Amino acid sequence: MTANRHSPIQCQDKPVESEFQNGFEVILTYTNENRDSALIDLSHRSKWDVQSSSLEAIGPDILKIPSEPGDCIYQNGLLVNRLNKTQLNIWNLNSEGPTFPNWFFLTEITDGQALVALVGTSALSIFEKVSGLDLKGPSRKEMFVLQGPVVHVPMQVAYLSQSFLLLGFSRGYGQSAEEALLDAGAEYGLQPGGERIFRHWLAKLF
Amino acid sequence: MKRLPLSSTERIDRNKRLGFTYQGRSLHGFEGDTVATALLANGFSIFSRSFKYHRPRGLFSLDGESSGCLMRINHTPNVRAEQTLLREGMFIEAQNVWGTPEADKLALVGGFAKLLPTGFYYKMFHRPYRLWPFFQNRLRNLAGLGSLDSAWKDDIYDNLFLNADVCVVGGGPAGLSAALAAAEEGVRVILLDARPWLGGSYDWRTRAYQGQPLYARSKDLATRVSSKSSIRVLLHTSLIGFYANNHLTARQIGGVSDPFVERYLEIRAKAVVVATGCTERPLVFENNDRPGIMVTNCAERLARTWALLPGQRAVFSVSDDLGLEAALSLSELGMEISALSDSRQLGQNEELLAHLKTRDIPVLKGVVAQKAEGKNWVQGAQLVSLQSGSVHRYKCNLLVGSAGQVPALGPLILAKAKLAYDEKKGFFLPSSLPEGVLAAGRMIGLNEPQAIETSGTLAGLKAAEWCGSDSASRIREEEQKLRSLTDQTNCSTFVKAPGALAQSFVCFDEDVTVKDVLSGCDEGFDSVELNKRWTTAGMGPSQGGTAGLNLPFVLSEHLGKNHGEILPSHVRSPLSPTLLATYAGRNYHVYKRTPLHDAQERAGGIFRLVGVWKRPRYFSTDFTCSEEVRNVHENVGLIDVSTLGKFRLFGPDALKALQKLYIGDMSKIVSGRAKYAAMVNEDGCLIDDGVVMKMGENDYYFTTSTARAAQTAEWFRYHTRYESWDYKIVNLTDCFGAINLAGPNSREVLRQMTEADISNEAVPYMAFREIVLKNGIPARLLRVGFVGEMGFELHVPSSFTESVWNLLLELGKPFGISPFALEAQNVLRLEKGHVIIGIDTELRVTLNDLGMGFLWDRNKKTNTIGVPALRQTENQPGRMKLVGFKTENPDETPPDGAIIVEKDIRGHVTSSRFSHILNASIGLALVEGSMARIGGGLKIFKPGMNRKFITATIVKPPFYDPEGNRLRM
Repeated sequence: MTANRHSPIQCQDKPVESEFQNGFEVILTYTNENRDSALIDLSHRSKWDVQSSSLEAIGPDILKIPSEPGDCIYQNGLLVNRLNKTQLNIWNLNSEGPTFPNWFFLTEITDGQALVALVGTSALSIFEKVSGLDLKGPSRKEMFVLQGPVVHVPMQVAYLSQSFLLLGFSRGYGQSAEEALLDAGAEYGLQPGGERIFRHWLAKLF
Repeated sequence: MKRLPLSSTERIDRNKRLGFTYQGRSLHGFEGDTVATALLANGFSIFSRSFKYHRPRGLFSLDGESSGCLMRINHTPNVRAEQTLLREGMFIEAQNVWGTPEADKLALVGGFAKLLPTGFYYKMFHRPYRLWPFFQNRLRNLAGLGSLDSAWKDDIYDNLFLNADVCVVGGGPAGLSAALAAAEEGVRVILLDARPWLGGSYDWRTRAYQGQPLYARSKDLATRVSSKSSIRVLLHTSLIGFYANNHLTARQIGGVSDPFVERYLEIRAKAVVVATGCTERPLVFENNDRPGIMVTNCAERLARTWALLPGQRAVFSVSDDLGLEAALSLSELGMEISALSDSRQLGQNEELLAHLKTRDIPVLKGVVAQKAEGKNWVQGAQLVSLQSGSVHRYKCNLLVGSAGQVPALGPLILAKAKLAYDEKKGFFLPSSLPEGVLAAGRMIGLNEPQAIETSGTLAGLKAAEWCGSDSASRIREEEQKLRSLTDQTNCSTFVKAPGALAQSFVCFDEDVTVKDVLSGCDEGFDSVELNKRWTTAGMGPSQGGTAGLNLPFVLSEHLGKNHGEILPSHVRSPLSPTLLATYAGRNYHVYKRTPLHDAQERAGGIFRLVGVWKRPRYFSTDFTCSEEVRNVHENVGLIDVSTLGKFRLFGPDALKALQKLYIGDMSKIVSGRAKYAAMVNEDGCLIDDGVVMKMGENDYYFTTSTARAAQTAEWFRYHTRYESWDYKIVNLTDCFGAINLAGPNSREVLRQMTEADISNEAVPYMAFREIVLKNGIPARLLRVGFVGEMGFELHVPSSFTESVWNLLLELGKPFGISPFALEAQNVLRLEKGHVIIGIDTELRVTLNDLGMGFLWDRNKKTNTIGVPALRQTENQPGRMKLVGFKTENPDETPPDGAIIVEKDIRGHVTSSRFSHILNASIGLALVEGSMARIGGGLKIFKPGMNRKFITATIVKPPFYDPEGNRLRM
């Protein structure tokens, strides 16, 4: 089988194990990966943009809606990020997840966003080398989403724990932003990681 | 120089030897040494020669206040040897010398000092003026310190972006107390210190305070700070800038184990405590720059911190109690002190005087250094009584000279604090601070340890309160405590010894003497800002470090004014000299790639940055791209146009938004048809164009130019911000890749890819369809024609785009398919007379001026951005117009931007290329309206053609297929 879909991110590291997901070849394990400091490409995961003047009217039977801009909710494998009063962003963190009907307020943006996970005990130390966004503020909730520049690229940053960040950004920046993040994290042993590492960290958290 | 026995104050690790090279010799120092102390320990005491007169210069201070220790280290020029920690394998060179620092052949320049007064180059080399360029070049070659070395190798320069509630600048006792107090109130603190360790002015001092020496007290405070997880300490970190909203920038010098050489820090804090202490003011007397003369804290720190006794027999000329304390301290370490002169007649600390007496150190009150003797190293000092004028001479090999302490106010001045001269203290102090900015410690005029620490605690509490903590009661307690602590310190404002004139240096960096300053003053440069520019005092590498402190005093005394009447020179960032490499940091090259980047790279694409995107400009080294263009005209080509902006606009009021932003009537969009539409700004200038399609009820898909993609959503929101319309916009630019298939064979190629009916009847020009390509890949098909041949634009989900591209190339082989890039597209669109926004347009010209007024629907009833301007300017005389032209000689193609001349400059070529299919050089030009008539001539100036011009005739575009038949095949 050959993949006819391509991720915006191609890692130089040699893959050991991969599988096909929805037309993408997804790397499960890399040769030199570091479970405690990894950057994992999740660009193949489904993503949606939801915009409505009455977001609250959508839930809760369909989707639990985070109440405040900046809040996140993890539900049924979906991370729902409230970006502002009228906009949500949904990332499917499970390899198999729900599909949504063709709702008017929903736009699939899977191919529009690169999505990477920065995991490991040095995640915040690496992050402060590439962004001025304040992830450590005392008033921060357990999980939250911020929007702002990371390696000078506008990104959505979902903070799931101090060892687990998700970065979503325009697909076109995927490769060069990934390279910049790996370079910044080199001193902390940051390596491209396969999806198994992501599953491990996700299972630890939820 | 032999190291002193091990002591509790030293900061070197004698178990860790570090090797380095200097003057071809392999030497060693210890971890904790600076380059300067390591050289001193190895017997090298002259580090460089002065800028102008090539006078020998040695270690004068330890905090980078003069250029005397600028050296070339690891091939980087102008590195401060006294602040640079020694690293294994360092390669160190003297600079600004011809020979060695000890025997510099250029020292003979000093003999001509009388011929080189201040401003000599303004006076001597401008008459006759035609000779100035000759001298200017030679003077510039002589000027400057250090030179670039091609052996310099790039290293790691990093960035760090930090956030804090409170940022404390200065890790001395006040800063440490402030950090602790703020952290105890529960806020996040960042503490910066310019030195490689905490402690500030306590760090080396043995004076007892609360039952322990000050250095031990500083270690206690530092330990407490280190134990607080909410305090982040950044050592060897100097402030660079202090901007609005407490945005600070700093540079950190990497330690031995750090992976970076330097890193640039950006810190955002709610509150800032500035506790940067004081700088020591040099004493101005004859030969005050000789190696072996240094300020008190330099002499004492060399001995206490680095175990290096800077001299065996010393003379002190000081102005405050810290000078007395240093003399005692050095005497305890075995230094013989021949005399201790103090410019103050009265007010010395009695306890210190008593201690000095017990050690038989003669104290001369009201006496100062007048002259230093010796050439490459000080050999004697001449002291003079300020009252009687009597002179005392002493043999010595160390002269410690200080005019007292001055607050290091740089950060507060950058923060826009107001300053006021304090007559009692003899220096400027902050009189009012901006909100969220506090000051503490010696920089607010305090000298006693308890007062210093209390002021720090108080500032820390106030900073925490500013961040929201409930600290009011503790603040009251500390305020009361501070008020009860009276500071009896008696300071001196004495700076310049009697008779100091020539060879009495105000500015070591630029070799500016008292005589220079006074002559400048007499020539009318009688304020600091004027005088420093005339004499260049303070304009050197240390940027007012030493000169900035004394220049106002020397001037005020000469002008008979009070010291407070002449303001010091203005302070600007960078507060500490910073390498450009540090500012650049990692300098990541972050750009956007289209989904076809790799495929085009494999196809031999030559890439260029186009805005945020990297795109192929050519597919061969023939930069005229004649083959790429020919293939589109004759067969079929494909180009990656994924960078076009793509948007979904939906909601009940979506049409209203389109109507307001687009100049055409968007209510006329027909289902299944794409409408070419343009946006103009409030001035009627074309800012964007693209196609708009109706995908369903209240649901639209539209494209924009590449350049406008990023701004489009904001443009819609901005212009509808008062409307309360219910519509939403989604940027799909990166969601879809786009491929333009163009050429007479394009339909045949596409037929290999889809079973959908794509005949001219089913998909006519400017129609669009949703189709399915091979392997079930969904695509949005648009029939458009930017390049002038029959063309189809395929919008495909980005992840599929490379597969579609590869299939097209494979299936299109029998039809002669090949990729073409931006330059070929540029030629093709020019043949059709299509404009590129930003290249053929500018902010002076409207849609009408471009000949595109047909896009404006005048019958539209809605209020549209730019319409009033279009109406007003439609018949306005004197406007620039866009015209097409052909050159008379087809082989003469003017460059883009070439000017059009008719006595005056009358316009310019916006773009021009040679068209192989037309065998002509064609182009578009913006010209004055009066010239814009078909058949009119243009004279185009091309650099290098001297008085000749390229002649061209104005013609009506399109140049190729004017009927558009090839688009509609």
